[in-house]
Amino acid sequence: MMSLDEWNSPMVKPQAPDSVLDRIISILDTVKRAGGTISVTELAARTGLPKSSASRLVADLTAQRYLRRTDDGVTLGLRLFELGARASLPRRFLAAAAPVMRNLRDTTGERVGLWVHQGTEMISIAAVAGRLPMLPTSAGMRSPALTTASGKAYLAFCADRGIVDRVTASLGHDVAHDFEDELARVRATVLATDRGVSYPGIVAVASPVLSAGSVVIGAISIAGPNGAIDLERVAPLVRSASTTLAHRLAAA
Amino acid sequence: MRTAEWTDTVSVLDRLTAVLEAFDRSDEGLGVSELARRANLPKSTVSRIATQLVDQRLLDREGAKLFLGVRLFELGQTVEQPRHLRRLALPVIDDLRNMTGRTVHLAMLEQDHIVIVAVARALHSSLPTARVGDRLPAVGTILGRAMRAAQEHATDGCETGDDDIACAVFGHGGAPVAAISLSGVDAAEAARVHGTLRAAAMTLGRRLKAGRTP
Repeated sequence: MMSLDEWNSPMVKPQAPDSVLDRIISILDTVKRAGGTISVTELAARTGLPKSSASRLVADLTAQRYLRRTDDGVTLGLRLFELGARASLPRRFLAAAAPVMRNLRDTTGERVGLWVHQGTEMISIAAVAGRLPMLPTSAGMRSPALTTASGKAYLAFCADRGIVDRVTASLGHDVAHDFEDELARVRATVLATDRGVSYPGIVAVASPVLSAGSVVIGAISIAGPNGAIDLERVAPLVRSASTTLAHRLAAA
Repeated sequence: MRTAEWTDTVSVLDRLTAVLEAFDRSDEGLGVSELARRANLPKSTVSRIATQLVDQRLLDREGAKLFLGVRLFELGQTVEQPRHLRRLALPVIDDLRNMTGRTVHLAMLEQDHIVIVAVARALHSSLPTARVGDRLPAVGTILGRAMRAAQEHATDGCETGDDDIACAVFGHGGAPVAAISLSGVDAAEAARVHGTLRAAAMTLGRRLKAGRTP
């Protein structure tokens, strides 16, 4: 059984990053995915960086508190916690979304998630527990945009064609065509569904969340056990939650 | 011996830090000029860096305004010590806020500074208050002073100020690892709530010792 982290990893192993900024991000991301402490040796192996470079960067990042030294290596540092607390989009989005999410959970009984996009993935910035137990990582969890309901809801309304292209880049011609057809259906219904593709046994329904300028900033979703959710009943509830959220964001 | 690459790395990271730290508490967002002014960097440099950072979602862009990005939020959620502390403490500080009706803060100590890890706001308070993620010199806060006093074994770990009171939370080995405070309490009320606050700190200390060490 794959771990959740492996399931969420990109299929292609990334090349060793080029610019210093890319290296910094690669290191921070790798430490994050390690989920605790990681040795510099292991960090170098996973990022593809020469050990001497990794060592130097780790020393600099530690000095500036992006990383913290532990007995067995390094872990993410408090500076990231401080900066993360000041990240504005999640905070404004969350403030507007909290009551909408709770209400959606109350009316559907299912787990509700709030997602924003990054690269070819969706990041969960909040989740309200429903019937399904919370997955091991809650806020901060990543899911592939290609197959998840939240990802498809986002991509269907994303004005930036480049983002959609990046996600579909690895698909064969026919599959890509089918995917575009599906996105068109998502646009027509303002709803996206994932019937056990991303996570076997779990069905999810999502609707895009639009900001004041009609720009899609994320998605709101419900997820529950396959076969036990009445999609006809819950789908309109998800769509109306996303409309409510859009109004709240516009009013804020 | 410093090589050119070493210097490069230091300056890239310094610039990154200057840009990220230029953002403050407000939700307003910053334009490139304002960001450059606050970061004390040339506008052309900041413009170039901002594009790269937006690409990586360390910054988010909305129109002409830049904000700290969702990737920072994502990374911040994963930092172990505050996450572990929050998970154990949130029910305790929620209870404490409900019992006392006062705003509760929880902070951890990192050398000379404290970092606010959790806040349970008093329902009817409109006072501005320290927020999660704030980093403050320890000596300037009741939370920091309580932890310092506990380190020097000077008190039972509790400190009273003009309008607040804090108690240290002890972890493994009897060292203070955090502190909880109540705000907006005068001397008389501080005396009344002292026992409740200290009990909450001890509860949290027990939970920390029972769980795995972060």
